[in-house]
Amino acid sequence: MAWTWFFRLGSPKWFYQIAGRWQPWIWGLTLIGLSVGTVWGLFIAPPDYYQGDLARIIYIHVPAAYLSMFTYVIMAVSAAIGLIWRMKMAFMFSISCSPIGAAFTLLALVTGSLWGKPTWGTYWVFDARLTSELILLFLYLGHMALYNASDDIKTADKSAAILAIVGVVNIPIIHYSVEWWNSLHQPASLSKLAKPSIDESMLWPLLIMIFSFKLFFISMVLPWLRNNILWRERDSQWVREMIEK
Amino acid sequence: MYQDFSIESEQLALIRGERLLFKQCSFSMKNGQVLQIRGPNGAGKTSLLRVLCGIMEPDQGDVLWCGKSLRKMRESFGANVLYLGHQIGVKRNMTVRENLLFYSNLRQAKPLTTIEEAIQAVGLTGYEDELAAHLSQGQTRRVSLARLLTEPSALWILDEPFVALDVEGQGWLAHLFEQHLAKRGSVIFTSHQSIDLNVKVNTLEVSGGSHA
Amino acid sequence: MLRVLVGREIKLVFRRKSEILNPLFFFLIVTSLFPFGISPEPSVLGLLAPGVIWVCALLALLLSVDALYREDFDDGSLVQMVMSGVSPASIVFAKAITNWLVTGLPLILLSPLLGVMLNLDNDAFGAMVVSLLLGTPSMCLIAAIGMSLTIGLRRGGILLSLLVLPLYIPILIFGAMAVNAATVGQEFVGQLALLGAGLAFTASLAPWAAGAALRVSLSE
Repeated sequence: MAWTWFFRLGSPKWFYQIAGRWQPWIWGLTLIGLSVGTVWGLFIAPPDYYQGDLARIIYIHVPAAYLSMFTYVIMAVSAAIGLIWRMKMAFMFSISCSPIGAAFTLLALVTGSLWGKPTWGTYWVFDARLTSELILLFLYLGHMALYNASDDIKTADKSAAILAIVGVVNIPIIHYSVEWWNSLHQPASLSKLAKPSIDESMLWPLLIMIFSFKLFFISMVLPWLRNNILWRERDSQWVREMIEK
Repeated sequence: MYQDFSIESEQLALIRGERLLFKQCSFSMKNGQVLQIRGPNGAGKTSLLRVLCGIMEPDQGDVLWCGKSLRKMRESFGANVLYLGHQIGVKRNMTVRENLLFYSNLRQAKPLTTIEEAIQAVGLTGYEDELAAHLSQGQTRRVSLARLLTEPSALWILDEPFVALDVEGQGWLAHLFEQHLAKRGSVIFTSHQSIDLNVKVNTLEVSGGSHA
Repeated sequence: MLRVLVGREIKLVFRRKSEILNPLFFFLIVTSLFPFGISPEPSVLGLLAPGVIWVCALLALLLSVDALYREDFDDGSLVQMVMSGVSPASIVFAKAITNWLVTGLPLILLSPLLGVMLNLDNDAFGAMVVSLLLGTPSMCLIAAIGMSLTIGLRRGGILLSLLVLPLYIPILIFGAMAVNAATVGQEFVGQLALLGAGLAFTASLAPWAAGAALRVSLSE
């Protein structure tokens, strides 16, 4: 049973319709989650002991940074599924992840540097986490550039998939090397983004925000994926019938 | 005498960009047969050969080598098949002899003829140590054809082998085909012209070019 | 098999000698640009030398890789090799070895000269050479992945750098760090060990990734 479900995912038409039906619900949940998390984080949760209201930016920054990594992993996993089981849908999903992941990365970078201005006195410092995010952005940009450079969609799918897997293997290596590099070059006081422990009153809204960001990712990826499906299947029977209706 | 082999395609379809090059392309062949793939320019003859060689993957269907999917038989396939495409892989900066030696070393196969004999057979005597860059197009083509002699393979897959050959060369190649068939070898080749061979030639038409 | 492949590559490279010399000139020229851009002050240059030499070596190496693939792709040699039953991974591995032998190694031999020009600390020369010895092969292998991914594309050049440079960062970090540590008289065995581990890691995985990528690119 489980396997028939798995392989039905490989059918663009089936996926297009199911995703279309789920989409409004997921968007609804996302909006609820984001509003609850935002209100709780910005108004109800107590201000940070050291940084006051300034620290409330973590309710955006941390989920964005988390999702930027999470999206890359999802992208690589579906790329691997595509290569192993030769599943067109998995490639399409993987491809749809990368602009969204890049957007999360950019959000994490922007919020990080906005947070940096009052704490460090400058928008940009080669802090370990920000640097890792910056390199992650390069990886996303490379992935998108490679995919868009190829004229043949089948080649583009597979090349991008291989690159995503190479990237995901390298992300931890890059992350730890940057951290080590940073710890030797920067005094520890500068890495204020590293929160060793967090009070429960701040943890809950943060967890809600992370969860809502995940929902947000799904709500973003579904329309992207459906567009992709329509574009690639534009000559097939079911798309033509749907357009005529 | 070559070992038994079989190659078949099941309902192959290939889409390139917006165009459906071919669909439901099926055939099967065994030792001692010739298949000519015919069709107008741009019909997908070259692409079909590349699919048969496992370089390109079909959108539908599969190529079977000795009854199994080509993807799982790459080693046996590589050892028994010689493919000469449009780009024939003759290095300009290597001599005729070095070119032939490199490929026969890669295959680690025992040649039926020595490299010198093969060079003589394709009419390039005296050019053994000449860089391929100094040869004419027809002569370069002959270098690649010499590989048919130095790398004994049961199945030859040749893309437009008669192009760039003079009448004499064409006659020689046709004769080579006949000798190959006599040893239970097979040939798949593309050509838009008719080739006179003293054996039965099966043909496969690729019309291609319809909108996907 | 690998011997046949590497032998061919080296023979071909030596017939176009500019392929060996151009990356070396590049290395020399780009490195000597830094004093113009920053300062001729020996103490300042000495501080920057480890990073400058490492970054320039990395760029020179990256520029040299295209020539190893481009012609073989265009004239059909890559397809012929794959069709001769050679696994794409061995082709790529042979090319990475050649890349290192004809460009990586000469760069390393040239690096002490640049160290002198940039006033690198006397104690750091050993660390620089050893770190380059361990780091450059990994870079050749990673470049092979990027090259295999982009060889079929019409405008692959800049894309190659975009794909490969972020992956070079850990190597650059540990390599330059080892030299930096040596200039201030610190222990640098740890960084070298990490570079070695990185080499073992890339040598065991990169050929497979690059081979898979090459097969995809050939199907274009």
